[in-house]
Amino acid sequence: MIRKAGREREITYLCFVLPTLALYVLFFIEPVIMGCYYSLTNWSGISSSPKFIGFQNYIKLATDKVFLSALKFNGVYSLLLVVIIVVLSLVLALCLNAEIRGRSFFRGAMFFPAVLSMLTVGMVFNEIFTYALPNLGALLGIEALQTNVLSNVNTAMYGVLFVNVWQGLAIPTILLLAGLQTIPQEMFEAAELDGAGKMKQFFSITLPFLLPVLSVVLILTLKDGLTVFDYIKALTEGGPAGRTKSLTFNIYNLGFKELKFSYAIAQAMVVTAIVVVISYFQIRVVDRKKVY
Amino acid sequence: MLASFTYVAAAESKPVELECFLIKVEALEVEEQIAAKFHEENPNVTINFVATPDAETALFARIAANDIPDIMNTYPAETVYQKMMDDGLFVDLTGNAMFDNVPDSVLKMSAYKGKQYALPLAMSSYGVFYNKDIFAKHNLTPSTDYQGFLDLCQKLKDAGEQPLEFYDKSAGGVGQMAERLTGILNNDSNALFQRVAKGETDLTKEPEIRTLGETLLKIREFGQKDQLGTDLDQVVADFISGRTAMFVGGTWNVATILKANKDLNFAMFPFPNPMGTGESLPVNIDTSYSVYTGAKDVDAAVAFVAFHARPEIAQMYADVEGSPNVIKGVTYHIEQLMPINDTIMKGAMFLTPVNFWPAGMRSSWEQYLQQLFIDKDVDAFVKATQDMVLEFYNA
Repeated sequence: MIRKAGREREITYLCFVLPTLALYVLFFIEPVIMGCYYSLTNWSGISSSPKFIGFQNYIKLATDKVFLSALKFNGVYSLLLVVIIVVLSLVLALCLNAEIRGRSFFRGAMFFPAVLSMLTVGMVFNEIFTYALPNLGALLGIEALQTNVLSNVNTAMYGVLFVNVWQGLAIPTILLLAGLQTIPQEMFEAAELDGAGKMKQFFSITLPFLLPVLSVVLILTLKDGLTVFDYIKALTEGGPAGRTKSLTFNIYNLGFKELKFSYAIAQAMVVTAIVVVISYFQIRVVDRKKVY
Repeated sequence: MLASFTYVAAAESKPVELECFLIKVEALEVEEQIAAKFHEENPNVTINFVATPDAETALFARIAANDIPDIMNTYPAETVYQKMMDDGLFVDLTGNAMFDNVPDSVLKMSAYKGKQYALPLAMSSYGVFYNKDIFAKHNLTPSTDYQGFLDLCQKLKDAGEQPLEFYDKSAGGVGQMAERLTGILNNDSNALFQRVAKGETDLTKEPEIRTLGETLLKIREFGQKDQLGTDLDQVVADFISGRTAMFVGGTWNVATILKANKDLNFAMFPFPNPMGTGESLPVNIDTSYSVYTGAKDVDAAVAFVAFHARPEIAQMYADVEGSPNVIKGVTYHIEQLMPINDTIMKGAMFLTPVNFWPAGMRSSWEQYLQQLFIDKDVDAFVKATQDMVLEFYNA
């Protein structure tokens, strides 16, 4: 009798899970498997009969200067993005968690960039960098402002990074703010009674309690950095001279401009593997240190 | 007036809706008018248009996903579309009466392996746009030789004018300019690159690419500050407002210029050949239509494409879109492009090289061109181009 009830419950659970599982298989697992297959062919995106070429696309990646340059760009870009976003969003979350006047307004205002599409933000900042700032520079006689930030090989990446940070801060800040609000206040009161200063409280209570949220923020930001596309498309198109060509922008170009779909998919597979491996180790490290 | 040839009749048995994908999105309005006229004659056929930004990329994505429109704009001379023809994507239209209204010289350009897979409607060209009022103010006339062109730029500069502006932030525009100029320097650059790929020669030993690099750098000496920070929209806006006397661009910019200021006194002349030989007017088939072999109603789709070959319909298109039209019986009236149109009609032109180069090579070249503008190292540019040609032609 008990066994029958248990089986019925399992069937009920299965019925709940099946639609989601089917969608997951259809929209995630199946494309990944198809992607793996196509990355082993010479598919151009047009031909209906691609030829199987084994691991040739992957072997070619090892000596592809454009791919390696894009990999380096994404590495540096992601590192800077993660550091800046984590530090700034933590500072902002702490400020918005404090008792300050107009806190609700600031909380709402700082979330505003998150509701805009990345492409829209990129296009707006493109206008600012291309027209507004140089004209302002000319008006004020400031030479440095008269050149488009995005046209200089030394500053183009920072221009893109600035836009990414401007928009990318909102979600991590909200997540960290929510994390801060789950920390029991008694912990801080007890620490104060024990004579712990604000810094000691931050490193001994706040930070360990925030680690699970920080882990999510780190992974999301890292993923954003490694897959940055919209800002590149709207701001620089990979220029000047390929200095801001990211992996995903290169994949887009290979697929849709050069009709090398199978090679583009092979690169996408490598990017996916990089994100998965880094995320796995990051979660393991953070898991060991967090407070439950 | 109807043409003397007959059209393929659309199926009359049951209503059909066909999807027409436009790469020439600026022609959407006039295409809708044309479709309405077609619908009057063929009430059972309705044409729905799709016109999205970055349309060609969207089209490729749809083809890759096997979601192919019934009718679409194509560039039949380009290798990418020829691959599609090889793969059986387009209906073979050879022998259809619609081609009676297209000059043989144009049909030769649009043919692939002796067959016609597209109806060519309009051509585009590339050259130097100039402000006639600024030229008249300084008693200057367009030059047909390269040194004369440089002297012209210098005179404008000395007179306090901005001779030229460049849009080097637009990577696609940079690649296009270099590709068109390569064609001017050598009308058959494809043959040169094939010889390079076979190891018979080396671009460091041939004059074309070095001259190209030097020319691109030389003309930029007459350009504005921060060329890598300027895009095409800004340059066109500056040309319209008279801030620059000239810019190098394609005939497709005319519609934008006229829309902004229909009274602007301007025209276009071919970019003079720095090596002084061959034709200097690159052309491409700017508008053409193909029919998908799996279209919902192939006969109706072909009938709609053929409908564009009627002189009065092609006239409607030409009046609005503005590119030199190739359909016989169309009266071209875009004054600013008359000299270019006359040159095309005389056949004094060459098909631009991108049609022969391997797919994606021009796109790949863009970053080396921008690098040239940054470090001005012509030797490095020639070497990078040599490596690129070897990679693409031996792929």
